[in-house]
Amino acid sequence: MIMTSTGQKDQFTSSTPDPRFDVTAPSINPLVATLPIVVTKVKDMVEVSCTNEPSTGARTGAEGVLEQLSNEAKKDTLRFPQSARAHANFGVALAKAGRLEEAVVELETALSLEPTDYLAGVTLARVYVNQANYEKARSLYTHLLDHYPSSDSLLLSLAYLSLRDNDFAAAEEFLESALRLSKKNAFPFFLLGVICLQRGNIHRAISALREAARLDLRSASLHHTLGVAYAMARDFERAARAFRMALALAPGTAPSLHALCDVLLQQREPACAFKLLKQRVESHPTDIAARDLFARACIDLGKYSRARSEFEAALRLAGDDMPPALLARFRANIGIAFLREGKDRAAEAQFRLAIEIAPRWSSAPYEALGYIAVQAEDLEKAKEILEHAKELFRDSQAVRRFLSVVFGLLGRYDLAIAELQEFWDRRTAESETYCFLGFLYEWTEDYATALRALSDGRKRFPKSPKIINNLAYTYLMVGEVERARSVLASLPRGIEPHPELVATQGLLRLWEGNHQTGISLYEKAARMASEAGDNSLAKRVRQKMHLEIARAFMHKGDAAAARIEIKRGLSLRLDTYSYRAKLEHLLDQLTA
Amino acid sequence: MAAHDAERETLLLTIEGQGVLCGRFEDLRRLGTDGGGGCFSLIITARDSTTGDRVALKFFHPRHLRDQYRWQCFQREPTVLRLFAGRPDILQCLAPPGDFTVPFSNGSLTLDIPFAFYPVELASSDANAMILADCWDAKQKFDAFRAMCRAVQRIHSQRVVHRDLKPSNFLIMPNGTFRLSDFGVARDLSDPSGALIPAYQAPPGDLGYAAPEIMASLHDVDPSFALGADMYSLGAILFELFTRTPLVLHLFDATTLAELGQTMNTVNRSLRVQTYDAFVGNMAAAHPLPRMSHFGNVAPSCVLPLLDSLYQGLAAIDYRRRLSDFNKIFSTINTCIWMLQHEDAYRRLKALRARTREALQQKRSALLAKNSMRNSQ
Repeated sequence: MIMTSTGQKDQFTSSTPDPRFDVTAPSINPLVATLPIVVTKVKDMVEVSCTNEPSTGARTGAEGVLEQLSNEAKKDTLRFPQSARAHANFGVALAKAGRLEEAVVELETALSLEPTDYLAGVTLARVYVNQANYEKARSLYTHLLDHYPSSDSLLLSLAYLSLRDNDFAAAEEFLESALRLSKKNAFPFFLLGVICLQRGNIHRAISALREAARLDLRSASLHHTLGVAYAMARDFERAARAFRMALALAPGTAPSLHALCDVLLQQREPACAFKLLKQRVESHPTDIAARDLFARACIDLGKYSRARSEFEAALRLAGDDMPPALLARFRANIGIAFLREGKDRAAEAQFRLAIEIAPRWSSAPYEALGYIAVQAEDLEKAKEILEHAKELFRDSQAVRRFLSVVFGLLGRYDLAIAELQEFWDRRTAESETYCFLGFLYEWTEDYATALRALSDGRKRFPKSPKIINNLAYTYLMVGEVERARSVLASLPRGIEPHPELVATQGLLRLWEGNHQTGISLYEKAARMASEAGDNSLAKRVRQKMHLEIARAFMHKGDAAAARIEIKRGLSLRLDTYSYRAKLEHLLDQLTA
Repeated sequence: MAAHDAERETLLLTIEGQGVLCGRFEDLRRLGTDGGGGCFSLIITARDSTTGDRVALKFFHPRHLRDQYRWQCFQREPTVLRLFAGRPDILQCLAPPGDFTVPFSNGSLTLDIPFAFYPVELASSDANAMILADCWDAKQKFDAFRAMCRAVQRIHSQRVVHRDLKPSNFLIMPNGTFRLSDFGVARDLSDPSGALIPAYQAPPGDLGYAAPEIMASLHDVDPSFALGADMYSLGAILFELFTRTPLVLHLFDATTLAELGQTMNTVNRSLRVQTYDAFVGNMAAAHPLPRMSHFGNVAPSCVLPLLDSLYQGLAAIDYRRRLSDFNKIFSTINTCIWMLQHEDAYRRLKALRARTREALQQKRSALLAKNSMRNSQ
């Protein structure tokens, strides 16, 4: 049974941003310049960026402490005005208090008294980094490195700065120098892991981060970063384990909890995420990211009303400060909650609101509106919405596929194919696009092109079960049973059987002459579709079964039995992608 | 500030103009330009006519007379010092406290200002000055630290806790020996009525050397927590001796320190230790003590690992894991000193050990290979 892409309600899951993880450098060496890192997964690429958000000093309540520390340090500078170290210590205290300008003055005084004072130099360079004055920081680090060639703090800081500038080669060189000094420090391995992540070498990143976590077992931030690397590699089980470890070492750390719950939602374990997030939201009601994740867990658990109220609460909390894209995403997610509950009209209002707030934020609300229009059998409206979305998101294959589906429903297979053909031609087609394009060619009985498209798709996505299924099916349609069998055998292990795949296996059995097994597999596929709530697919599976059995009887020359099967097939009424025409054609052949 | 300086100057001039105090202390001269720079005290040097030596007179700053806690601290200090009369390593109180009053008039108003003092030995410098001047080599630093530990061991053996250990409170005498001074916030644990106030809002002593459990006010629940806290201060001092920068500036962020105090003060006293114990392990994991090697060439590499382990043991964030065995501390210090004195011999010993280990390893692998060959045959 070939796989189509007609769009089910469940297909509309809550909109999530690109997986984004905050990574903080472990506090192993207080003298290394570090900046917070953000690791984001955009499509198949991992993006690592140093956020330009230097520390802004201490929060309320800490001023008294900082004042005491600064005063003590200041006393020493008054008592020993010629001591470079006294000025350096005062500079460190001021920097800690976020008084960067004053810190620079003190640290420069220290360096004027003793130009190679290590603490003064390193701290001044760190202050420069915090002030985003990277060039000055780099030159000071380089100057200090001449005097302290075996200082790993200097080498690691320089590696950090190179990483920030995307100069990976230089960063790796500094790290190698640091590792030559000692392989027992976790920090160089941490940085190496971050560099490998940014270079897209996730497996090397994982191995470096594992080594870092091994060297410093009690560092929560190292386990967190390892979890991020695993999440990037889509190894959610290990990622969850690493995030849990980070949380065990530093309970209540927001980035680790958010990351763990994100991973749990990806692993389809919303109940577990729900439990963790419920506690978090109750203890930290202003944690908007936690509320967002909590609401997504609620949607996955079918608690739509709760999800909506959580999104609304997050919107209230953020007030006017919320960026339009985030606001639109929350509105769209409220819409998803309505849609999944069957409240299409309320959902439509939310999607329209999301589009009004940020028309170019995402194609998701347009697709959802298109879906609602298709459900209401208003195909023209769906076409209009999706064509508008296509103008805004030209490269979004999801939009183009959906538009192609709508053209298909309108019977305009030429337009449906044209929508997707350019992606195949440009070799940028996603696996879903290859899959649907293959289906369209097969449906229009252009088997040769269908086989070419699907074979190309298989080359690019050798493990895609949908492409494998459609390719095997198309081979069966042209009678190449052996090839179909070998293609089906290439399915990755552990793939959950879905109705189309089971039906294709049934068709294979029919072609092999094993009617009984073939029919029982078709029946099983229909049952699976019904149980999943897709009655239309169940009917299509049955209609297709009757068509194929009729063909088999015709091959055997048993016209009477074939006729009975054709009649059974024709008795099933389908609105879209019906095999009625093919059954009628077969009946004509029999009559002739 | 300027008004305070003028006031201080007036007070110092008044004391210097007193001639002879207690019939014994003459030639009164301020210490330095500002009489020692302490907030609550004024230090005057004098000649002890009975011995002919110069001594220090520690005066209570009259401006803080209304501060009952500070006044009681001042009064307590000579009492505690008397417990250690004639003992080495502790600053000696040379005579009972004395006082005098001076009338100050401001227009029609005249006030009798009391000046209370007690005489102590006069030091020539303190450890903080030596650290900042960077005039000690590694061995001298270990010697100094050994003397500091000895002083703390001495007071702990009498169940006295200092609670304000820091480099500037270790005075250096003209003969080069060390004296532990400033017992203002010290407490005799064997005295059940030793507490001056029922509950502390801030840690007694210098915040920069205060142990986390003192920040969390656990000493309010059980004063003996201060014993371990003194060990933490020793760890912080050892760190500073070698790196010449206070540990507190490189360990906690100010928010953590402030939150620790604020949060724990709201916890019921009976639950405070239990609450603290529940999170101190994680706090220690989140704030690893930095290695001394991160701060440049602070000591010869041969002693760095031992030095790190000693300071990290003493300054352990989790008081339950803190090193408090003085025998072990002295033994580590002595080992470090031996290593410094015999650096070459130590290097040779280390190389010999490495070679032996390697040879053993080779022998073992050869044996394993032989066995596996025999098994395969």
